[in-house]
This record gives sequence, structure tokens and C-alpha cells, in this order.
Amino acid sequence: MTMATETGAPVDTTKTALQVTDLIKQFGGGRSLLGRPLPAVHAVRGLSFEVRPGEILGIVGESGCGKSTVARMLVGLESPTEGRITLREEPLAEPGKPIKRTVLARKIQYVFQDPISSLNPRKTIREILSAPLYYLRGMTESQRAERLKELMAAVNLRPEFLDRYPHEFSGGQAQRIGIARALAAEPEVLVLDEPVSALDVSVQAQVLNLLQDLRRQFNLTYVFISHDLGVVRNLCDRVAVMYFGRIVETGSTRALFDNPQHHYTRLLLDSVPGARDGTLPDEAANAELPDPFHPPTGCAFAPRCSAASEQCRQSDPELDTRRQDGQQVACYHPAGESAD
Amino acid sequence: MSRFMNISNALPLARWFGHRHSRTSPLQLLLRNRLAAAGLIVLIAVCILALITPWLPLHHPNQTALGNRLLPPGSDGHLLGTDHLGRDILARILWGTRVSLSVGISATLVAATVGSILGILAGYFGRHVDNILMRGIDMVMAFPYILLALAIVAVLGPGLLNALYAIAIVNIPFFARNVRGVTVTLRNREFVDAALLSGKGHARILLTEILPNVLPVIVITMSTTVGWMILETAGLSFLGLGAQPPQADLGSMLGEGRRLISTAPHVATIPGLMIFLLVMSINLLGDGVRDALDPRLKAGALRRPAARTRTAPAARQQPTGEPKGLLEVDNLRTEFHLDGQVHQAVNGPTFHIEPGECLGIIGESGSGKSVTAMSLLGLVASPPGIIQNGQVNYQRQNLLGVSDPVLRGYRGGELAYIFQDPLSTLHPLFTVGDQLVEALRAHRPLSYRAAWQEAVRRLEEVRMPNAARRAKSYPHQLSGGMRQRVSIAMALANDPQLIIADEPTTALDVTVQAQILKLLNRLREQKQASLMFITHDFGVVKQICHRVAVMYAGEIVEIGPVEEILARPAHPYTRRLIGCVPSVDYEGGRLAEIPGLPPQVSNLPVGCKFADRCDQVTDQCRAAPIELDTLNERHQARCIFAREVSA
Repeated sequence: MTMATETGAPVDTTKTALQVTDLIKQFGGGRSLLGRPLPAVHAVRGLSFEVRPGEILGIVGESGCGKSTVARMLVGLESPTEGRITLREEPLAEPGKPIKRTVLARKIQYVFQDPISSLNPRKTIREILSAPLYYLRGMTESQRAERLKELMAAVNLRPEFLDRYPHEFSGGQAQRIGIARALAAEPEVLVLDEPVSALDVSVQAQVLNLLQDLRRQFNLTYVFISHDLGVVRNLCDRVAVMYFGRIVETGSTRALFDNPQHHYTRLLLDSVPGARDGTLPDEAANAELPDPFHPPTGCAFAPRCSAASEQCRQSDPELDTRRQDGQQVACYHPAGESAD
Repeated sequence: MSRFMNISNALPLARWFGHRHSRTSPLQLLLRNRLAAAGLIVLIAVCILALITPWLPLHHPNQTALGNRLLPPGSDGHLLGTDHLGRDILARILWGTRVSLSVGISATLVAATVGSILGILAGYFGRHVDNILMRGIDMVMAFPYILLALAIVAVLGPGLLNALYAIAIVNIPFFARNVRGVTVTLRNREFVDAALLSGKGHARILLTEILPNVLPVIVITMSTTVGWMILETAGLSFLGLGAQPPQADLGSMLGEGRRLISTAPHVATIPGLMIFLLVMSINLLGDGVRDALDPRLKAGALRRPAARTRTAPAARQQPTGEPKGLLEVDNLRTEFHLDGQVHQAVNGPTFHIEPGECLGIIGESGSGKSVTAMSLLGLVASPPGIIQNGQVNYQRQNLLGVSDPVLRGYRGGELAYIFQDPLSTLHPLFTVGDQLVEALRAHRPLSYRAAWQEAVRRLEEVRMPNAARRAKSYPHQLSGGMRQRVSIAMALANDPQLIIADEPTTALDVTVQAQILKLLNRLREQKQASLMFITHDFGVVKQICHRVAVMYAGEIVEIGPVEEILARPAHPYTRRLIGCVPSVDYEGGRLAEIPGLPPQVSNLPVGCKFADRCDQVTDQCRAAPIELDTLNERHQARCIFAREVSA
């Protein structure tokens, strides 16, 4: 079944492009030379989600919630400690198996947050964009020249920019070059890690519109990671909210923004300055994340949550999969039902 | 106040001249340094002499003539005299320089190659590779290096080639450690990840991505160590372990002349002078090369900014008439003079702040909003900043013209700053309590104990949980939101009349930002202070500001009450900037975008600065400067169509 999404692009809801199952990532850990266990940071603590072909899945969360670690695992820059990632039922990452990075890179590509630092200062744009064409697509020189022109046209940059160096570009132009490099590998899925957060708003709009156009033009699927709720609302079809390494709520963009169920999602939305009814949440000083070396047994948000009960501190709620509308929430006392 | 100076130095420099300004070539930089240029000339002269030595009409360097022993310099046929075997010193010096130079340079190349390979591998692969390689390097460094060189020569046997090996081995750690350090930082840069995702293998990334970026460091290390290597070669030869008789080498000549120092001092002095000349010229040149290539020095780390911004006489005049509001800024003009270019960062904004008011200054990066804020109390780094014109009137005084002690009294006292990144404004080595005590005692005669109690009280005021205990923590032990609370407590320490907050919530998460905004607003009301809030976010302006000034290319393009500007923006830039922001409250469909880029501040147009990006532009817009048009008592806009747009 194909249906038009909120953003107007066709999404095949019966198929799954990218599937992530029980993903866990720990940094550090292991044992010292003397056999003592070393502390491990629990960055991602059991994550499952799926992305449908042609869809934009937004992952939102604040710093330290593990959203960038998820992104890096999706493209193979980190390997998961546990769990698996599959693309169209083909396994991409499994624990204990080495990452086949070139295989992966032809299917999933990455757009970095900082457009300038993701471009080597000593290489021309031509050299930077040629690398994936040569190493991943094995193109000859004449094929590459042709494709470079197409890529520059696709991201609205003049072809004479090819022989310039990164420092000659503004942030917005550099980010378009970053997108062109990701497109060069002809991937099915683009993982975008805060691609517009380093840009000014007027330039941000240019890049976001470009991303919309490219998705339609090349039938792309996006995983869009951001902390900017306004951007997510206007770009994404579905959203997953992360807190301390887990997804606490997921659903269609409209449902999630209009009717947030998790108390953290509500707090996030109420915290956006100048939005909603114009009043910010209470000035509670406790906004600190739990210790990532020793994650709590219960819900990580419980210390900040007004609805927290003893149950919340004892055990961590799983994402509720029973709901019909596709909106899922990991909470014992969801906000919508807290009245009874 | 030193930490405020630091940030004022770093911020505008990075933003204005970060990557877009024209670069001076390293060679030009090098030649501008007179000592380095002198070193280069001497070195080139010595090298040319050494190269053409075989073709010069000289005596044979090893030809003995016992009849001509120890002739003084200036003797007939022997310009620099002869040594104890009657050999011509001029010939021996030139041949010896050839040997010393070639051994020193070869040893440098060997050490640089081996050391850099080890350093790059250790830095790139990290973990076990790093551990094994660097512990090996540490072992080499654990021995005093001249002893190690002696030991190596003792094993291999004396001779020039073995001395070369010994010196090269001893110097490998310098290269390995320097290169490893740089490689570790490069390894964590995103372009290496990007290269991995482009399908490049590790070997290729090392050669084509890392190496070109490490090369400047290798060159710097080479230029600063080659002098040492020549000295060490001379040292080994002096001890008789390097060049073997009769071969001439600067060190062995020195060693042979040593015994005759009282009878024929010139035999030892001349090679000594030659070593001095050679090593001195190489070191001067090496330092110059380092200064020219090192990115840290290039960014101006060596330039010590003045304690306040340089101010032209035009900007120092006393105010005439009654100033408006608490603080009045009139026609402020701040420029940066760099590389022969004038960057007009601030082009005459005029505004005032009422007592108890929150004035927002909004603009994109490069709009001059931060430089405006820093110009008020002379915090713009000079050089390259200079305030050319304007007045900043506070209590009937022009702050740009007051004496240094008066200005210092205002800074952090009645007029306080809060910056974007508290981690770089707080001193990492002092507890936050101590830093608050310092801020308090700089302005008030308090005992340490009383100041500490006051500091804890101030931390409680900004709702720091466990204030008494947290006062003893260091900045890195606090979260970003807590650090910003400390900065706010510091700004409020001396009950300021005006708080200038430069993007204080930009680096914070949205839930923390909400708390800080609430806190600032509550404190402003409680203390009856004014707040000047610099931001790029209309949501923040809507949340806490009464009035807002919109800046573009160093000018205020629109100023007025927040509700009025958000509802009826009069300037096309304001209108379109608001249109660009995706709202969290509704889906807006395709976002409006502003095509193009802001003008370069080193080359501003005569007329409207926004003309090139505006959809309503006419010829009239470009003809002459556009004045602020008063729409009503409180609302002004810099557009000839302002009345039509807002209607």
C-alpha cells in the first residue's frame, strides 16, 4: 500500500527500509590487565525502530541522549555492542562480525553536523566528491566528470566551485557539498546528523528545502537527527524521542506534536521559547541526566517527572506496542491518561 | 577581568576572519619576520659556498705542509691561516661545513621519516598500536640523549655514518611525539570519517587525508631540530667519534684546535664561529618557519590584545545634552583592520535601553551583534579592532572616552556580561566559589570569608542546588546549565544596572535554555536591572524581550516593540527572517528561504545592504544610504517601503 505522507512524498507503508533491533552500545568496559572490570558508558540502551522506504524519520533528543551514537552505528562508523541493523532484510551490522564498510557505504550515507570540519582543508571539492565515485562506484574519469556536474547541479552549486578549497565556502554552501558527497555513493538511505544546526536560519531553510527536493528526486529515505523541534515538525513524517539512550515515545509527527504522551516529550515541547501558550515550564533546577556509568534500574526520566511513582523507579517501562494509531510510549503513566 | 579579555579576543576573530579572509602566504609571513629573513640569507650564503666548494680555487683540505704550521689569518696564500699540520683552514672550514651540513640534514631526514611514520601510525590507530609504539619511544627518551648517542656509536664503532645513525635514532622521539599529537586531533576530525564513508581504506586515508595535514608539523619540527642535529654531529666529532682524521668536519676541527687555544687561538675560534653562524641562522629561520606555519600562532595567540579597544578621538567626545534611558548608544562604528583590509563590522547602530527593560538584539552570524555588545565596554580585541566613531553614554559619561580605571570599575560592576560558552569564560583551575569571590572583591572591600558567604548566597539566588557544596566544585564538574548559572551569578555579583547577555543559551539544550531564560527574567524583575539580550532566535526574543533591534551587516534595520515587529515587520529582512523559522506549533509546508548570502563586511554596498537578496528592490534602494524611517514613536525601520510593508 502506498500513501502520501504529511510532507507529500510517497511512502510504502507495507515495507521496511531500515530495521534496528535491540541496539545497545557501550563505550569502554572490558577488564583491566589485573582483571578488574573497567567502567562502561551506556550510550545506547536497547533501541528498536524501523524506517519505511521514502520516509523521513526524525530522532530528537538533547545532548547526551545517544542520538549521534545511533547515527554513527547506522553508517558503520561504530559497531553495536549488541543488537542488529538490517536494510531490506539484509543484515548490515551484527555483533561480533566486522563491519563491511564499503558495502555499507553504497547503501547508507551520512551528512555531518559541522560542514566545514567534515571537508579536508587541503583538498579541492573535486577531489572530495570524486572519492566516493571512484572507490564506491568504480567510475572512470570521464564518467566521474559527468557525474560531478550532475551532483553540483543537484545541490544548486555552480560547477566552477569544483576547483576551490573548503575554506572559500560559507557554511550553507559547505553543507551542500557534504550532501553532494553523500549522494555521490547513490545510497538508499541518508543519515543526517544535525545537518542544519550549525547554520543561520535563512541558510537553514535553503538546506532543508533542498533535502525535501532531493528526497523526491532520488527516492531517498532519511533518518534525520536533530534537537530543533521546529525543524523536525516541518520536515519529518515520523518522530522518535530519545532520552538517555532509549526511545521514550514514537509516532507520526502530527500525533506526537499534537498529543504528546510521554512527560519528557511534553517538557521538550513546552520548553521551546516563544511557542505554545508562551509560558515556560517551571524553573526546576534539576535537569541533569543520570550517571551514564551507572544507569538507573527504573525510568531514567523519573527524577525529573511530576507523575513518577514507585513503579517508575523500580523498573524501566518498555515501549507500549498495543496502541492502534502507531504512537508508542514508554511510560507507566502516560500524560494522556494521567487524569484517571 | 582577564578571562573576559580572553573571550573577547577569541570570539570576533574566529567569526570574522575564520576562513573567509584572504590568506597571506607562509613565505610572505616568513620574510616579514626580519630575524628569520636574516637567518635565511646567511643560510643560503653558507649553503651556496658549501655547494661550490669543489670548484673554488682552494688548497687541498688534507694537504699537510709542516713548514707552514700555525700561520695566522691573513697570511699570504692562506686567508684564514693554517693549522698545526699546516693545512689551509679556509679549505678545511668549507669542506668541513659541507660534511656537517650533509650529515645534519641527512640525520634530520632519517629521523623525520622514521619518527613521522611511527607517530602517524600510533596516532591514527590508537589503542594497542599507540601503546606499543609510544612506550618504545618513551624507552628511547628515558636515556639522556647524548649518552644514548655515545652508546650507539660505541656499539657501531666510530665513523661519520655511524654518528649519523646515532643522531637520527636519538631524535626520532621528537618527531614521533609531535606528529602523534597532531594525528590524534586529526583522527577525530569529521573529514576522516567522511573519507571512510567514501570507501577509502586506512592506508589511503593516512597518505591522502592525514599526511597533507601533518606535513606542516613535520616541517616545523625539522626546521627547529636540524640546528641541534648539526651541533650533535659536531659534538660527536669533537669527541673523536664522528669524522675520522684526516677528514675535516666542524666538530673535529674544533677538537683539534682545542689543544692550541692559547698558542694559536684562531685554529679553534674559526670553526667555532662557523658552527655559531650556521646553527644561529638555522634556528632563526626555524623559528620563523614555525611562526609562519603554526596555525595557533597564525590565529593571533602571540598578539597580545590591549586591555581595552583602541578608540579614535572622534569616539571619545563627551555627550552633549541629556542622554536617553539608562544606556544610550549613538552611531557606533567598530572596524577591524586586517591584512590591509577594513572590515566594517558595526556601522552606526543607535539605540537606548530603558531602566528595567529587556532589549533584544537579533541577527545572523556576521551581523555585528556581538561586536556591538563588546564595543560598549571596550572588549573588542585591539589589534585588529578599532572604534572609529560613536558614543556609549551611561550616567552622562561617554564610556568610550572614560579613563581605564573608571572603565574597569564599570566592567563586572554596574555593567556586567554573560557569554555564550561558560566553559571558556570560567577559569578551569579555580573553584566556582573562588571565582565569585574574586568578582565580588574586585569591586567591594570584603574579607575572603564574607565574600565566600556572599558567593554562596549568590549561587542560591540562581537556584543552584546544594550551593554551599557546589561552590567548591570546579567548572568541569558542573553541567552546561549549571555553569551558565555560575556565570549569571558572577554577572549579578555586584548588583549591575545592565546585564549584557551574548547568546547565553545558544549552547544549551532546550529544556535547560527554558530554565535559564526564566531565571534571567525573574532576576531582571527582582533587581530592577536592564537586560540586553543578544540572540539569533525569534522564539527567545518573543519569550523575554520588550523591544528588539534587528541587525544586518552591522546596521540596525528595524527596531521596535516585540509584539509589533513580530505581527507587522516593516523591513523585508525582518519579515523574511521570521518566515524562515520553522514553527513547532504547526506545519508550514515548504519553508520560505532568503536566497544568497549577506554582503562581505570588507566590501559593503553604498545603498541598502539587503538589496541583493530583497524581492522588492528598486534602483532607488542602491543609490544612496537608507535612513531609519520612523513609523511611530517606538518603531523604526531602514527601508524606503517600510510604510507600505507594515500597512
